[in-house]
Amino acid sequence: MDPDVSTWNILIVDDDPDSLGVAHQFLTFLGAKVTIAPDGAKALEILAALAPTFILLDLSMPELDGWEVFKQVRANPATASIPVIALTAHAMKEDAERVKAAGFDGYITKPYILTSLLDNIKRVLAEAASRPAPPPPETPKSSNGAGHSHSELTHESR
Amino acid sequence: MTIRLASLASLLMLAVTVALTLITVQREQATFRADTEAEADLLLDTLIRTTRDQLYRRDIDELDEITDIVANDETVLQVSIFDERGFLLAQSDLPSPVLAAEADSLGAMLVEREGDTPYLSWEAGQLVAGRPLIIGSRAYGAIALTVSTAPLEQQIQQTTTQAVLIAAVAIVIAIVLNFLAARRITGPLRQLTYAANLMSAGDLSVRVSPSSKDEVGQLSRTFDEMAASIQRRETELRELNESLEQQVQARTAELRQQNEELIVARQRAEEATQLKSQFLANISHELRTPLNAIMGYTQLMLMGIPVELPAVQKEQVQRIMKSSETLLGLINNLLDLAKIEAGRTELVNKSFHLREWIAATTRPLEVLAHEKQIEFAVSVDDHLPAVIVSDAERLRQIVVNLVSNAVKFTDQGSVTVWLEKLSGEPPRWSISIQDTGIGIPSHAQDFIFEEFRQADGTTTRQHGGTGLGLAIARNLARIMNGVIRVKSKVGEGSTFTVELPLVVAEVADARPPVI
Repeated sequence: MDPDVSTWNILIVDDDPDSLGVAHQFLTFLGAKVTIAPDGAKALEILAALAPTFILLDLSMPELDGWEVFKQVRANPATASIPVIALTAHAMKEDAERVKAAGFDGYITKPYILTSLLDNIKRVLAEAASRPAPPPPETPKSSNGAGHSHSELTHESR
Repeated sequence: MTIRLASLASLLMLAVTVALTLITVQREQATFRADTEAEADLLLDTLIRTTRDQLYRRDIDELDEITDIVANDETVLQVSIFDERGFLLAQSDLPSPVLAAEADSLGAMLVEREGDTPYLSWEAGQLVAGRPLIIGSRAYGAIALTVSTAPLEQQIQQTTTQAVLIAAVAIVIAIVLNFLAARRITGPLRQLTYAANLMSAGDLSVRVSPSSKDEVGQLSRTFDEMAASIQRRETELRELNESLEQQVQARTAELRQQNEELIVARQRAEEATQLKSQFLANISHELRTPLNAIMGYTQLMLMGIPVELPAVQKEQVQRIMKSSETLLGLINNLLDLAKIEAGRTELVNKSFHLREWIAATTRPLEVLAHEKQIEFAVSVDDHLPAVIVSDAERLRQIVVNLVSNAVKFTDQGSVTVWLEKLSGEPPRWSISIQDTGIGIPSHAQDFIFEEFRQADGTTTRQHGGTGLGLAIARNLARIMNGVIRVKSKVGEGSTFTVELPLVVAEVADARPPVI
């Protein structure tokens, strides 16, 4: 159990059941409340009723993909201030730049070391907490480093 | 010009003809007069001798008969015989006897005449000739003749007519000659002039085609040859021109086609590169997704989520984790190599603090070295600038690959990294990594930079690693215009040296790199 983690209410969006399974089991074990969505539409549906602490969002999904979900989350004032962390197997250098440019709060590449996932989430939340007001939509996070930090296992890290 | 010349020639011809005619007529006249006078004289002489006795005897009848006989001649118009006083005794056209009452003026003048020459007098186209009859020194009478000049007139007429005819013929001949001359000389010359004008106006097909063999013909033939030669040369030039133009057009078309082919080829190459990088991105994504599941569940098991594993199984699962990490490293390296070879690696050259960069790069490697109880040292040449321009991330990859290798193949001793400025132009610098490891046999030093090649086929299993680190380092150095060299001795260790162009940052306050 992690005292911080037990306060978290997390929405995990991923079309791969194993990706969902690993993150779900790990974070639940640490005491977090986890809601899972197997696709983008389901995620938005859940978000209409749920205000999660943050969202772990896969990017490549059929139908409504992570990019579109992110756009709609930011566009909706009710969800605009929720931190969104991209959790993706897109680990090329160009992907990292694209995620950063889109304005995600964090970027973690699969496969990841579980403990670094935790560290990254904490850093993103600390970052979000220090922000006075919710940022306007589509505004990319400036060079704070935490916004695009990612797993040590990813050779693309820089 | 030619007409004037011809007219002049005709006039000259006419004048000559007229002059000749006049001279001829005059000469004819003179000759005729002389002839007539000689004839008359001869006749007188004969008459004198014939009538001598009769005159002496005054036989009038006989004298009259003689005058009639003599006057029978066409040319003799009248014959008169006078007595010693000049009285007419007989005359050819008077009946006998003539009874003259007084002396005839002609007869009186004749009997008084002395000397041997006859009296000759031309009167109105007639010749009057007379002579006295002298016996001893006394004149017994005289005889006079009147001779017609009609034959003379006739002959003059005839001569004049002949002369006029000759002149006319001459003029006709002159005209014909003139015409012929014009045809033979001025005609061809005019034709030549016309042809030359045509030719200068651009008609090179014009020919004079002379028929004569004289100088003008020769000139015309030469002209024709010249025209033919010019035309031939012009034709050759035009053909050459056309051929050149065709060649240019063909070459242009060829070039255009090559250009289009090049554009298509470039598009294909770009598409291929695009497809290749898309393929690489997809491969990366598709490999990572299941690996995430493997490594995720493996970690959960190791963490005892949801239940602790028995110790023996935990060890097995740790081996799964280790292999998964190796697999991930292999995937990353392969993708790196593929990206470099697909030309997808673009250098991001920025200025950075060299000393801070090498410290940050080697920090995690130092940890690895210390884990193996190996000494680790980094030194930087004072001659190197504080801030340089390069691709810090690619440089980091090279150093990490080389230093990890050094640590991997060294079981005791040290790994030393040093950066130094090289002498010479253009400025270069080097990163050297020296270890006291197992070393590389000289025969292997050539191929260790090739993919999946380690010095010994067994070393991969013994020392781990993907066999791609040096290949990646070499390829990265190459795209940064650098080279990697190796010096090694089996059992003593190896030194890898990366030589790179040195670009000093112009901005002094370059920010340290974010690693």
